[in-house]
Amino acid sequence: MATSPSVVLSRLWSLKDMTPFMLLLDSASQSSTFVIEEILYRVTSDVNVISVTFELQDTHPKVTHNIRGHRKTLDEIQQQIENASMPTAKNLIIIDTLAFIKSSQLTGFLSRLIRPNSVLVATHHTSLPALNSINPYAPSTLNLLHYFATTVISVSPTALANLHAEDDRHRSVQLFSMPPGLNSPQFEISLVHRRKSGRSTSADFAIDTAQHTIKILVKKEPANPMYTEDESLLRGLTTFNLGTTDKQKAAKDNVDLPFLAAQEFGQGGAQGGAIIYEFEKDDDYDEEDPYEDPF
Amino acid sequence: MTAIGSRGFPINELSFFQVSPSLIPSKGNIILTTSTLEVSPIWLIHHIIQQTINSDNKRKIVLVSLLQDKEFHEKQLRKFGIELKNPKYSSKLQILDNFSNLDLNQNLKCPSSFLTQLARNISSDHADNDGPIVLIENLDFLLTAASVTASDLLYFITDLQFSGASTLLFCNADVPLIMHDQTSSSGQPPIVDEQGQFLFQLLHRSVITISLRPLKTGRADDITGVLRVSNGGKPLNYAKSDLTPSSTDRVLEKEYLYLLNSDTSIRLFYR
Repeated sequence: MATSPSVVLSRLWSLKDMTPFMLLLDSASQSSTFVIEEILYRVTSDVNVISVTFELQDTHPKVTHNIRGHRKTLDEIQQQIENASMPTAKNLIIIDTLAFIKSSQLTGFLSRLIRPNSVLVATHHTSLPALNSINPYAPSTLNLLHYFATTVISVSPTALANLHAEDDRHRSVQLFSMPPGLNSPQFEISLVHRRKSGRSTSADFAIDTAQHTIKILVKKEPANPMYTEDESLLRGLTTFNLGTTDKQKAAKDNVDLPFLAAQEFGQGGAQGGAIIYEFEKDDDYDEEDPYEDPF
Repeated sequence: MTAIGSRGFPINELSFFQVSPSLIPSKGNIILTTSTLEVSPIWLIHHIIQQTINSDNKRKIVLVSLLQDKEFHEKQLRKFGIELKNPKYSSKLQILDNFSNLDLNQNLKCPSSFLTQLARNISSDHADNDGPIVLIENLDFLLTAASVTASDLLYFITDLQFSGASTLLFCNADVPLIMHDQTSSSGQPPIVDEQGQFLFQLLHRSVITISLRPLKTGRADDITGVLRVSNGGKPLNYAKSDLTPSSTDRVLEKEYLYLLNSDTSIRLFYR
């Protein structure tokens, strides 16, 4: 069983590992169509590919059955998928957008498509404003989908160097003034894969669908600026050396601060406000003397 | 692209694709143009018509106008050298004036039948399997004007795509139409959700998105606005397995500044 996340992704996309429901979350700045293309590139030809399309007009050459969802009821679509799927071979069912399915009908529709020998890949556009649900207490579509997807892939454009540029880009997209460089074949995804055992794997990847490469991204945790020392601030203040060497820092970190024991609870710590007293070698303690008892 | 310099270059050299000189997407595809009140897209509509009508493209062009009457377009197109009395042009271009005969009470009581009729008008006498080139101005206006929902309009557009039309949509993306007013305590107008649904879904379907915006820094005498050409949500070559030159074409993503002169000559500048 593959454990390395990068292997997990390529095994999922080539259908070597079956995941019942792979949810693709995309936005206006990066479309999931590239992911669908990449999956179709990786699957072997013996897979029965059923594509349910609401917005894509062209049929990919690897698609065996193309079902147009336009002006059809969910029952009709489901019936057509049923007819197209093969009971023995692997089935790959792709739905290009869930936007045309009402959230009240969504779970029923999708759960009927989940089978042991099929993989359901569906895209949810996260940019679309949520339409008012009839029941105000009903969970949002996104929450529902998160709940029963076994693999969630969020697609985003390649991250920019700094947060301000990222904010600017996001704002432009919100205003429909699309900056160049979005929706490109090079993008990033973040994967959450839930195994049958209940264990989940999550990782970030950089994908290039033009070269068909997957590169795992290790995100550096930005150091908290509150707790990092900036040595340059101390420079030039006085003639004293205010800097600390690494050895000094390590020694400083190892010192137990006083009264630490008093903050601990339970065995060996303070119990009910008791005074903790430890004998030292110079202490004079007389067991006979009742007034000497520190406890 | 030859004349690049401080004087910019004429609008005729604007292209949307890296290889193809056409301004029209291939069959069944969409280009979405968004603009705001300050920058009208009318000149771009007329420029695209002019370029296409003068090319050796045999496909019929249909301009669906919702906020302007036919006379306006005829007058403007004349400035671009297109005289619609000339049968050479009138046989190729059809203007559907939905402004003059848009009786909101009558037509829009049943919006779906209005849209069906519109689709029928567009696809009538286009028996050729290439499908028409359809330019629609302010279709999103129906969202505010009548009880038309975003999905009604999207179904209408899907019908057009199925008929093989290349569709160019020109829509409004002014802030009050697309963004909730966070400071307002009263209920939010439903238009923001509908307009957002409509535009974002189109963004996902289009091969190219174009935006016309005023300069962020304010009005200038020598610049009218900013024109951005970017990838849409649909890859240009999706589902093309052959590697002919046309299937390797890409969107020419660029940002330009443009200037509309009073004599309708339009110049572009690289940004």
